[in-house]
Amino acid sequence: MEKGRHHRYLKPEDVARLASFEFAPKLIADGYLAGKHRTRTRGSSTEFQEYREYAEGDDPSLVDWRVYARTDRHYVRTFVHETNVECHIFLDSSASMGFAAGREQSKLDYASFFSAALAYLVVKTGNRVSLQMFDEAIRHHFPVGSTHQHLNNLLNALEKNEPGNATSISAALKRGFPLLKRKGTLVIISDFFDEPAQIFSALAGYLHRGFKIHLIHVLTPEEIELPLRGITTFVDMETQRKLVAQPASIRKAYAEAMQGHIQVLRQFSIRRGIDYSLARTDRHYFELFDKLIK
Amino acid sequence: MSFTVGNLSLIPFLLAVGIPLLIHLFVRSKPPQYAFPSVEFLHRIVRRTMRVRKPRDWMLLALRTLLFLSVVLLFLKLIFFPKAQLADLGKAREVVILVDRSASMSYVEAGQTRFASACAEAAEVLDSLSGDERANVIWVDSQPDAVFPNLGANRAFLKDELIRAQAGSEACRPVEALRLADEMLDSKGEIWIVSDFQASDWTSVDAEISSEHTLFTIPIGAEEAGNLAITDIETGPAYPIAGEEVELRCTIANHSNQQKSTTVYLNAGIARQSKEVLIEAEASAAVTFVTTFDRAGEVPVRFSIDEDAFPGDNERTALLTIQDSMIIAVSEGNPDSAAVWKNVVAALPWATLRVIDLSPEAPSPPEDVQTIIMTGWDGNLSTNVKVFHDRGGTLLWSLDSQSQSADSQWEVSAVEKPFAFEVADPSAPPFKLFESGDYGDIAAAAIIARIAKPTVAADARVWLQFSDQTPALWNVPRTADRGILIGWNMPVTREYSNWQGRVEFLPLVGEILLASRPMLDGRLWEFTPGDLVSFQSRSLPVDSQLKLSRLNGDSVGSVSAEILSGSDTLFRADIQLEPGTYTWQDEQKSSIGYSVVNFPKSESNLAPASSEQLAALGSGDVVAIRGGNEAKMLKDGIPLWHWLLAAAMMVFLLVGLLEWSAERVQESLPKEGSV
Repeated sequence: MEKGRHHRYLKPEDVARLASFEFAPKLIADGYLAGKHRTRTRGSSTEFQEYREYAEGDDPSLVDWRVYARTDRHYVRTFVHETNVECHIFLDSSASMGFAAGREQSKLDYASFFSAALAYLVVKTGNRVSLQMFDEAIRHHFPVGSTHQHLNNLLNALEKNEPGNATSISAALKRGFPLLKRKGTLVIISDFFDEPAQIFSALAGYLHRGFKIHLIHVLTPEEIELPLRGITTFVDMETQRKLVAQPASIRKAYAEAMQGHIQVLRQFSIRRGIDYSLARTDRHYFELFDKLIK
Repeated sequence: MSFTVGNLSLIPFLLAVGIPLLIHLFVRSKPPQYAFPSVEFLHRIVRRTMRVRKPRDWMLLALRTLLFLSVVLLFLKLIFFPKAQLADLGKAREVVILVDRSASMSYVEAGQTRFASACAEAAEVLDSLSGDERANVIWVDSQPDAVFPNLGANRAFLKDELIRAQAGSEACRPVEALRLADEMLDSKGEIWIVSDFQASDWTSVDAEISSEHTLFTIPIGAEEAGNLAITDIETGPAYPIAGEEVELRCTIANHSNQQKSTTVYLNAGIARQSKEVLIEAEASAAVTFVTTFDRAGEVPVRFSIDEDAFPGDNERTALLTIQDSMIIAVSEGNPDSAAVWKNVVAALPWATLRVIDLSPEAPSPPEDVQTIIMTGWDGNLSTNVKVFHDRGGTLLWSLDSQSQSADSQWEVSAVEKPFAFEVADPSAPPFKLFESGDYGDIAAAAIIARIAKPTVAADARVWLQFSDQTPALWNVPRTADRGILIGWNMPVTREYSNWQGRVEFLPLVGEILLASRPMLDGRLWEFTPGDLVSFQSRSLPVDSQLKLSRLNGDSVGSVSAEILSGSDTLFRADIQLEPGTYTWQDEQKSSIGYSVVNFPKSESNLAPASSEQLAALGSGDVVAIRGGNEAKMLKDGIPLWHWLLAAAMMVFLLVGLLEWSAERVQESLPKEGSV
């Protein structure tokens, strides 16, 4: 984080509150918000461990040619093999996420707050975090990183992010799949206005690679309960499609349909070992961390 | 059918009816827009409920519009005119009420005559008038007359007249009554007709009423009013001879849709007879009685049947003249032939000979002459003879040389070679006597002259014919407008035939004359109600003090006399008489003649005219009304406020019911599926 500069989605008071999550052992144990968990085994990490003499079968690329120039002996460099996981945040930045229902914060703002806090926690605990902002495709991809500069970049990107086009979570996940080199934790923050079957079909590849997946379903109370009165022209924020309806007459059916959709997502998640959390924008996003800790 | 409103000032509020529509249109077309993340869910639900909601929305819109309409019309004080609105607003009405007073209105229904019902309905029409609106009443019978000479405002007097009036026994003449009404009315008048609208009277009535007038018809009486009536009387012969058998025949008509039986009674002089008769529905039956009359003179022949609801036509009378002998006149156009015919007539014991002159300037044949034997006649009837023949008198035309014309030549054969002739129609009535052979052979006479091609009517029946088919004796039957004509193409003088020496001649002529007697229907003495009964005499001077009385001796009023052309005097009753038999008495109170007033036949069939026929009565609007009480309704209309209030409440209830049911349907719709 840059000194003296306050990021929109990560305020000092939030940072102070996030300090209480730093030592969350369950999170670390679960590999979520992966804290440092090093092994003494050598690996392909970036952190230098020691030199040893080259032996047959070693990768020639690991030979330190400077040492060879000075000593005329072949030594190879070994690195600490880190077990900390990578956290990949998929942030839905489609047009529907711009829905604010008259509040100051839209669903995208809410999701950005959560993403910023999550990224901060990940970086703070020495893990690496990536950010993919998508709508019907991956609009911005920030590769994994664990530095403060990386975190700053992510926060700046979140601030500059605007709601885009129509949502296609499944398409975005499929396109993001080759971008993630290592398995890790996949956090998808979206309103999930997509076909559940297609979403989980797109997640199948990640599950196969061993990703731990969390779905954060961001919805406003208005989307869940449809409290509007009077006949209204509903304009689809993604397709601009219009529909005239009397909310009072369809409220009950709509609420049931929306609950049905949530239930479908929840049941698909349970069957595939995916964590699902409903994030109502009228609740503070910190509650999500509470749930995750539990 | 029309509507009007009591609160004209509130008419702009009718626009309020459009409020639900406007709300529907504007609210539906431009509701506030609301950006929503995804309308997919909404769309699914709306689509799922659309099939229920769409019709419900339209029904709701219709019901709400109806609700508004009902409420607005409630305040507008809507008034309904179901048939027609009387007169223009602010214009005084002019009303002529035609009340049918004909004989059929005497029919008794529900304890009162149709005429009484008609007067009550007419009074209701009068009650619908107000202020100085003018009216008049015209009685419709054979000679329609009005209560006032013109329209008057004294409706109380008209109502009194309606109360006092009695049904008549006359026929109905609607055309004259309508014309009278039309003359009384200015523009846009009302003609109210209260009648039983008998089809026999009211079909094809062409009264040329101004199209500006509106005709209102108020039918009186039930559709089906069964009635038996005596419609006709025939006597055969019309002028029977004392002691001769007479057929007295009456026709009973059954004007109903079911078979009926009745007893027919004959009262003729001292003869009293009765017969049971069964008459099919909508048919008629003839009942014949045979009797004899011992003495010459006029005998009223009265037929009657059992009394029914319409007694007026249950009896009918004919006047039968019994003669001492049959009056046969012989014209002397050919003196030789006439001499033969006169001898023959003189030899007939039941015949009285008269000699008449048939020249154009000669007077009419005497009334009592039944048959004229014409000799030396060229075939052209003088006016007097034509009148006689048209009245039903029989003509026997004895053809001779004077009867020839350009086409009909007199033909004479050699004495040794007479024209052979034969019986062409053995069933001819005069030949019945000769079937046994006791009276000789009617085709045995020797004839050497004839008219070669006599003029024979197409409907003639040839009784005797020459061997070359030339008619020798033929009969032109009686029709409704002329009597019988007998053609005798066989010379009777010794010069040309041996007829007068044959034994068959006298009986043959006698049988022909008897079989050809006229069936006169007695029109000279028969009158219908409405006529002024009259009596014509050649012998009585104009100052004769004749009295007209009923058969029971009651005088029926004064009698006037006038001299007709020639020496005839016409005596006429000063008042119209009811159906019955009346006798003319001289100063010695001796009966010198009878007159009969019979029920008009057209009034017997009570079947009403169809609504289509009544609709064609006038060239303007014809409005069918059920009763006179509707006149007030037509004038003031029917206030609809209570109906509108009920309608508004009903619609309100329906709206609630519809919304409630819609909720139930909504709840019963299948829910969104889950995995």
